[in-house]
Formats: sequence, C-alpha cells, structure tokens
Amino acid sequence: MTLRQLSYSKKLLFLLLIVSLVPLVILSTFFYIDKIETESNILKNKLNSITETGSETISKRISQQKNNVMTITQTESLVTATKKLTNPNIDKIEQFQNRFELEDKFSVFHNWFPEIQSFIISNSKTGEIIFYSDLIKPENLKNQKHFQEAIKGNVAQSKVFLSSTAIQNEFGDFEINVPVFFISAPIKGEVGVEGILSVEIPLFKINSIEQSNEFNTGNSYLVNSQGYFLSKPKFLDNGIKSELIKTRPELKLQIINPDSNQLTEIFKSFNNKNTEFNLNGYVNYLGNNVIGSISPVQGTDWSYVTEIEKNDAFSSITSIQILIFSIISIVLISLTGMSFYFTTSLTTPIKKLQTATEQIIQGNFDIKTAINSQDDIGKLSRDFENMVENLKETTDLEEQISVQQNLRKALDASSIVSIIDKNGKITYVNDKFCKISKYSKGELIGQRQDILRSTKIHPTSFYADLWSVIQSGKIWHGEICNTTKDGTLFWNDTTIVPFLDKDGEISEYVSIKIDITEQKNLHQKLLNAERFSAIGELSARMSHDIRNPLSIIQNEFYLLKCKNVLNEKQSNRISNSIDRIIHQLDDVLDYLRDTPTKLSRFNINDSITQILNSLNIPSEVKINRSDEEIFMMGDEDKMNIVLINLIYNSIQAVKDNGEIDIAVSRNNEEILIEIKDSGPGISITPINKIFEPLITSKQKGTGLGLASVKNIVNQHNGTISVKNYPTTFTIKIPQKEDNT
Amino acid sequence: MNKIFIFSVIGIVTVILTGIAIFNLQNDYADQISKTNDLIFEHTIVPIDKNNPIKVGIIHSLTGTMAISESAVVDSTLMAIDEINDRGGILGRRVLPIVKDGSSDWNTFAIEAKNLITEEDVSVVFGGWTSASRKTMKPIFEENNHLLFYPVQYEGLEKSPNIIYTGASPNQQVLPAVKWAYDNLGTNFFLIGSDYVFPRSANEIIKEKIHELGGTVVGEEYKLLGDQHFDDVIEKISESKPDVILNTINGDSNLAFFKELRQQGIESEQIPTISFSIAEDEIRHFGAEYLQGDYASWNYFQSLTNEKNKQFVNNFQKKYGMERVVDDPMEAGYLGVYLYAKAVESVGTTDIPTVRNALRGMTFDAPEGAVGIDPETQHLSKVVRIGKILSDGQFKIVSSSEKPIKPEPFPQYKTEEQWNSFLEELYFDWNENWANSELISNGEQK
Repeated sequence: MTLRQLSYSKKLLFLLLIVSLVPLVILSTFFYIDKIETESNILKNKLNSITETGSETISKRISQQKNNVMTITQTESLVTATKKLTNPNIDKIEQFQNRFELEDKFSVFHNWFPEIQSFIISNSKTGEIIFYSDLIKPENLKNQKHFQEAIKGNVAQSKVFLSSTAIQNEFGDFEINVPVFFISAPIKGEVGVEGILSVEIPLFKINSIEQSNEFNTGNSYLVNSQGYFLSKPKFLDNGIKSELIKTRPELKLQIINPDSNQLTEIFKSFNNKNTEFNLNGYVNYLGNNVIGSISPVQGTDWSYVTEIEKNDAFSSITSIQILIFSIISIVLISLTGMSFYFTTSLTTPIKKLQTATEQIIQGNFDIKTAINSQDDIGKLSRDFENMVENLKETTDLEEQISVQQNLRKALDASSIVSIIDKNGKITYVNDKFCKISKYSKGELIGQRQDILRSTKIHPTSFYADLWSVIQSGKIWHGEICNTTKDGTLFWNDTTIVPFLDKDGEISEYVSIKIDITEQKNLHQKLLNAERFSAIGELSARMSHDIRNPLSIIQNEFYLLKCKNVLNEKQSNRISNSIDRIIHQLDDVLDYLRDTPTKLSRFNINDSITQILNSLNIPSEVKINRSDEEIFMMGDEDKMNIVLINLIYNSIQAVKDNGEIDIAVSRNNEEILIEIKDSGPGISITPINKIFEPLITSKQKGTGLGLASVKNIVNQHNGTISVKNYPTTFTIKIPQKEDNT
Repeated sequence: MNKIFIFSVIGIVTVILTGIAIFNLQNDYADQISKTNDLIFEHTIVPIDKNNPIKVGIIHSLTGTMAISESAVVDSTLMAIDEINDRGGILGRRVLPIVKDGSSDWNTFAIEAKNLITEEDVSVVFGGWTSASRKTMKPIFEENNHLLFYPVQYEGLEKSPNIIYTGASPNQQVLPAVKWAYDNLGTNFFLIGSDYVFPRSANEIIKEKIHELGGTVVGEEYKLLGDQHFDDVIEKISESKPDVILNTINGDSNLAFFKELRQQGIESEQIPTISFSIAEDEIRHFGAEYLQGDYASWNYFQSLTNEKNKQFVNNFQKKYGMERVVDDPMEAGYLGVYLYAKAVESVGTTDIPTVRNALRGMTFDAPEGAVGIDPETQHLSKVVRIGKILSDGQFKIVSSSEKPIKPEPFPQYKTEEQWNSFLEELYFDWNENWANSELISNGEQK
C-alpha cells in the first residue's frame, strides 16, 4: 500500500506519530545510553570498592599477624630464653627454666593473639627446634623459604599448605589437611639473630570474607597464585553436586572454567599488581556468566576476587529497559489515541462532504452534510449545500433517469441492441443479441462486429457502403443477414445510429435490430408454393396432352418394329427415348398425384424381380440381390414407384459398367431396403438436398423422382437416407409384428 | 473515543503487569540463589591406629566418701584422653583408658594400682586423691619403676621419681594463702582438718608459716574423715574468736562443718574460712549458700578467662552436661594426660624410664596457664590464686601470684630428714597407716 492510497486521516495520523515518535525515541536512546554508562560506572566502582576493601582487609590481617609476631620476638624474656636455649652446654634445669619461661610467655601471647595455632623457636644456625608449643614436635623448618627470609632479618610468610597433623578446624574439630601457613621472624639479640620464631596460623583465622549484601549473586573469595581457593566461596553447591569437590575447597579446588577447562579469564589476565575488571562477562568456576574484579592482596601472592552474575549485576539496567519500554508504550498508546481523535475530528467533515458527493453522483439531491462548524470546512459545507439546492432545482435528473431507464428497458425487451465503438469493436450487447447470435456476452464484447458477417449473402461492398453512411454521422437502415455462432443465418431489420460526443465526434454506434428471419422464410415458402402450383397445373396438362400423342407414337413404333422397317439400333434408340419420356412423365405425375395409400401384404422381392424384368438393364451392369421372401404391409404400387426410381437412378449412375447391390431384410420392427451402386457418387451438397424437389444431379431429369420417393416413404411412416462412396440409399419402413 | 480510551487502559495495564511479572521473576531468582549457602564439607578423618593402643590406667574412688570429688577427676582425665584420640592419639596410636575404683580405701588403691601395672600392663597411671592413697600406691610404682600422675594439691614432703605431682605443693597453695590471710583477713587463725596425713602435715607447715609471720593459732582441731559432727569444733571456734578459719577437711564432712558453722550463726563476714580442699565441684554438691563469701586457694579456677580455659570448660560441659563444673584437681588430672602425651611424642616411645626422663622439664600450656615439670622435684611450676566463693558456686579471683611459683615439696622450715621423721611419727601413731585408723570404721558405717 503506497502512501498515495492512504486516506487523508491516515496520512495525518502517520505524520503526527512520526513527528512525536522520533524525538521520543531519540530522547529515550540518549537517556538509556546515559543511564547504562552511569550504571556501568557505578557497578565498576562498587566492584572496585568490594574487591579492594576485601583485599585490603586480608592484607591488613596478614600484616597484623606479622606485627604480632614482631611484637613477640621483641619480648626481652623471650630473647633471653632463646639465647640461653641455643647454648648447647646448658644444663637440664636451666633448659627447663628457659623453656618454661617461653611456655609461660606463649601462654600469654596465645591469649593476646588467638589466631596463632602454635609457636616454634628454632636455632637460627642449625635449624634445630629448641621450643615448640604444640603437642607434637614439628618438622625442621630450616629449608623453608620463610625461615631463610627470617634469618636475613625479615618477617616472612610461607605459602599456604595443608597440615599433616591434626589441628582444630573452623568448626572446632580436629582434622588433618587443614590449610595453614607460617610466619617466621628473627629473634634479635644484642649480637644478632639469636633464633627464629615461626608461628603456625590456620588459614581460616584470617580468610573470613565479608560477602557484600548488595548483590544476591555477589561472591568474593581468595585465591593463591595458582588459582586455588584460599577461602570458601559463597556458592559451591554445583561443585559439590557434580562431585567436583567433596572436602574443603581451600587448596583443593582451582577456579577453572568448566567449559574451557582453563583458569577463569579474569585470573589469566591478572598481573598481580593492579585491580582489574571484567565487565563484559566471562564464565567463572561454576560455569556461570559473571562480571568480576580481581585485586592483589598486598604482601602475599594471593588475589581477592569478586564476582557477580551478569544478569544480577545488570538487573538495574534491565529495569531501565523495562522503564523505557513502558514509557514508550504508554506515550505511544496515548499518542495514537490523541492523534486518532485529532485527525478524526479534522477529517470527519471532509468525509461527510465526500459521502454527500457520492450521494449526489447517484442522483440523491436530498442530502445534508450536517457540518455546523464555523471554520473553513464549515463554510465549504454550507456553500456545497447551497450548490446542491440550486442543482436540484434546475435538473430533475431523477425523472430523466427514470425515463431513460424505461426506454432502455423497452428497447432491450423489443430489440436486439449492440453498441460498437468507433473502431468497430463491440462494447455492449443485450440479452436478446446473445440469444439470437448464440454467442455469450464475454465472447462478443471486445470483438469486431465482423464475426457476425455473412459474406455469402452480402458482398463486401455492402458493408463498405454501410460504414461510409454511419461514419458520416448518418443513420443507416436496412436488412442484414448475419451468421450465428453455429453458422446458421438470421435476418435482421437493422438501424445503426452513430452517437456523437460533446465535441461532435462519433464516439460509438448503437445498432438496433429486429429479427426478421421467420418472415423471410415464410416469404420464400410462399413463393415456392406458388411456383409448384403453377408447375403442377402446367405439368398435368402437358402430361395429359403429351400422353395421347405419345401412345400414338408408341403404337406406330411397335408396328414399324414389327415390319422391320427400322434396324435394331434405331429401334432401340427410339424405344429408350419413349421409355424416358414415359418415365419422366410418370415422375411428374407420381409427384403431383396425391392418392391415398392402399395397404396390402406383398413380397418385396417379387416386386423387385418384376421391376428388374421391366427395366432395360444393360448387360454390363451386374445386379446382386437375394430372392428371399420378405413380406411387407404397404401400398404395393407406390412401393414399386420407390424401387423403380432408386434402381433406375442406380443403373444410370453406374452408366454401362458396374454393380448394383439390392438388399432387403426385415426384423421384428422394420423392413430395411438398401440399394448400393458403384457409381461416382452424388455431387450435391448437402447430400440430403437431393430429396428436395427440382434438385437433380442428372442432366436429363425432372428433379421430382427422389422427391416422390421421399413422399411415399414418408406416407409409410418410414425414413430414407443417402450416403456417398458407395452411393447407398437406405429405406426403413416400420412394420407391426403380427404382419409377418 | 471510548474504544481509544479502553485500548489505552488495556495497553497501560499490560505494560504494568509485564513489569511486575519480570520484577517478581527476578526476586524469585534472587531468593533461590540466596538459599544456597552454608556448605558442610566432609572432614578428612584423622588416622589412628586402634590395634596397638597405648593403655593407660586411671585409679580413683568411684565409691565411698571420696567418690564425689574423685569421680569428676576421672571425667576430666577421660576427656583429655578422648581429645588426644580425636587428634590422632599418641604416636598415632589410640590411647585406651582402663579405669579402676579405689573405693575410698587406701589399700584397694594399692591393689588396683598393682593390677594395672602387672595385669593390664599399662604405660602410665593417672590417679589418687588423698595423700593416704598416694602414700599406699607410692611403693608399688617405685617397686615396678612405673609412672603415676597424681593430680591433687597435697602437703608435700615427698619426692618420688615415679610420681609426677600435678597438684600444688604447700608453697603453691597453703603458704601463699596463709600469707594472704594474714595480710588481708587477720592474724588469729583457727585450724580445722580431717585426721589424716595431709591436714596434719599441712597444718604443721601452716603453723610454721603463721609463726614466721607473727600470727597466732587460736585453735587446732581434727575430725575423722567422713565425720558429720562438728558442734564441738564450732563451739571452740565461737569461743576462740579467730579472724580466719583454715580448713583442711576433706570429703563430705565439709558440708556438715559448714552447716553447723552457719547454724551457730558464724557467717563468712564475721569469720571467713579459707578451704584447701573445697573446689567448684564440691560447692556444686554442697550448695553455694553455705560457702558463699568464704575463700579457697587453688592454682586453677573455672572462672579463669584465658582461651585455653574457655575451651576446656566448654568441652567439658559439652561432653558431660552444662550443669557440670570443673575445678583444680580435675584440671590437674586433665593436664597430666597432655604432659604425658607430649613427653611420649617427644621421645617417640612409651618406654617408662625414657618417658620419665622426657617428662622432667616438660612444659605445657594448660587451662590454668603455662605449667612445667620441675626436673628436680617432678612437681609443677604453677600460679597460685585465691578465690572468693560467689553465690553461683564460682570463684572471684581476689589474689594471684601472677608468675608461676617453683614447687618446694619440702618447706624450708625443716630439713628433708626432719619432715620425713615427722611423717614417720604420724604413720606409726596411726598403726602404720596414713590416716587415723578410726576413719575406716567410721567411713564404712555411713
């Protein structure tokens, strides 16, 4: 549907919607982009804050522990006791006193620093353990990195490992494989490092993580440099379900993306120096799509990770999307409503005017636009109404139309009407036209009138004259013979009226015909009847007049013949000529004589035998027939006329050389007589015409013989038909069964 | 126009409903997520060898007059063993306790001790309360060159290489209390005790101390163990008007003494009592109303606030019930097990001479604080505390030595020989017994 096809009100509606929607969409987009940027920044800051605060907290805890250890190593009595215990020559009592001094000190320190699980003091030179607070003597720490660092004078932290002996876990139960780490520090005396203090701290004492409540799916955790968990993550149910991990996750579970089987993206991209973000989303160890940040824990090789499921994190943005969608929807709906109301109120008067115009076109002048507004359209409407009033007064269209319609109805009822355009193409035909021409309207409209022409009747010049008349703008009147669809002819009394347009040019021709075919036929029949009656009278008189002199000629010829005055050739010629005259006369008389039929029962084959005997049959002509007795009920004399005519015709047709088959049969219902010859056939078309009077193919014939035959067969309620190649006449005469 | 209005309303309502639906979905999702917290992991089971246990003997009176005090020590000793088994035993081997009833009868103690050593083939024995029981068991352990942990404060005057004394020696309980009483309560002392070796010996030392301080002993009385009649003693107290009573009565006679004392109208405000054998567990049995405001001297009180003690009290009450209390002998019994465990771990064998050698000088951070076995005396260095009994049966610590005090089983008032002959006299006075022999018949009568 193009814009041109839209109504004025719809165009207006679209215009209003576009004008208001474009700024709305632009504003919403700006608002959305701005909001997303703001939200992303807020999110980034929140993540930053959570992760950095978290990593700082852990870092502070570690440095606090280191400070605690420093504090302990600086205790004077501890330094003294260590110094004495490192002396290999010390006696047992002194050894006890110093150990007890240390035990007493550590008992106090244990209360001060409850995170510390156990204290170990080693000889800095030999690594030999000179004091331990635990129940079981620990292993020598000399080769440990943190120990070596402590010898150098630093406070050093070991990596996290799983305890090999049972210590109390976070639930207060004894367990082996509890994650722990050491902090070692030098015990410095006046002359240098007297010993090394190593304290064992369970990881759970310092790795507790305050999970942010801000996001439901927010999860912070600690990992070491290999990506192993150092704290319990908030969500591990999937891990447990999938039997990824059964025991504690610390140092047992790596932050591996289950899809790629590699460490999570954020961890791989981390340089352990600065806090880093991934706001685009990546798959975390649970296989969830998350955003996250990672921050180094200062003083360790640990990292603090915070992850939030992406959907959760961006839920506020989703809310904004919903908000904007809602606003646009509401505004759109209200706009549509308002625009519709506005355009409708604008275009309703126009529609009313349009409706009124349509009514006027249909001839209804009693119309009110009912527009009362004072604006331009109101004025237009009133002017329109005034105009209609004036029109109505001057033109009584309705009556005119009514007259016209009646006239047309009358014309259609009485005449064959067609309209032809100036190029001769049919543009209109009425039902009568179709009925008489046997064409449908569809077949005629658009065709040239020429398809109805019958060139046999009218010469081409006839039509040229006709066209020259009507093209000059004159009315033509005359009789035309036309051809129907099936080829039959029909006669019309035709009047062709050229219609002129307002410029005086011929726009179309209206042809009004009256069917006169019947009249024409009647006229012809009348003519024939008159002719026949004249001929009949003449023929009867002539026959009578000729017969008498002919009988005299015949008798005299007979006498001459007997006296052998004439040779055989001459006598034959005379005999044949006399026969022919008699036959021709009989024909005429047979046809004209209308005698009643005298019914009797007779053998047809006997009749045929007699006829053949009576006829002069040339010896070259072969007659094939049967002698079977076939009786029929009929007028024997008349039937003889029939048979004589047909056999005689056949003999003439085959000339002096050929065969004639005569077949007579009967069944229960009818007698069938078939006479077939090997002649050249009948040249008259249609072949049935041969039964009409005065029609003959012979040069010497009355044209009445076969007409008589048909008359007689018809008098016996029978039928006769003919066909060519071979020329066959077939007679069927119905018989009642009991006649056999 | 109505249609437009209706369509607008339908549109707006649809948008609002969609919004609400999405919001609810989000909340449901959040709820679902927040439920999946608090994960419980399987613990790594601490491996322990159960087939080759370290057998330890426990011998205490589970019946008789001493049962109320001693059965609680059995509880704390067993708890220590359980704790050690929980963390994997000693040397990876399970510690299997074998408990024997001393029946408050000193000879039974000796017989059962011998059984434990010879029949049960234990590696160590924890047990004994009264000095009488220890004295009868001491020869058994010495003969077998075995090892006994004795958990109760006592009169001292003893130093067996086969006994580790985890309770206080006189200079760690009695003498500091006398000094504190002299400084804080008054100079006139009345001594009351059960008639057996500990009260007699303790009072001998006390008298020396009072003398040294310049105080006065206004009365000294002894009653048979288990005696319930103290009216005559109270009368004497009323008459002599002491500033403080020093009480070395043992067992359930204490309840009779305090009931009588209060009946006679002597309240702790007027004449306070310092008891040397009444701790939290006895108060629990007697009822705090008779003892409130009086004093006791111990190395350990349940009310100590250090981490080790909190855990100890917690574990005990978790194991035996919240109404239960712990006290000094129980704690001494408990820490003895740990000292033994630590010594065995340090030498890697339960061979008794080796362990005994390792025990000398062994230190441990106990609920009462750091303790260490003095290599010379096999007594523990420990802190001395004096507590005032509160209405809930707990002690408010009113005095503490702060630093651990080195044990002196033989107070310097006499030489070791002199003390030994003092004890011999008592022994022979009681017809070669470590308690007044009437005690037994009296005790059995109840």
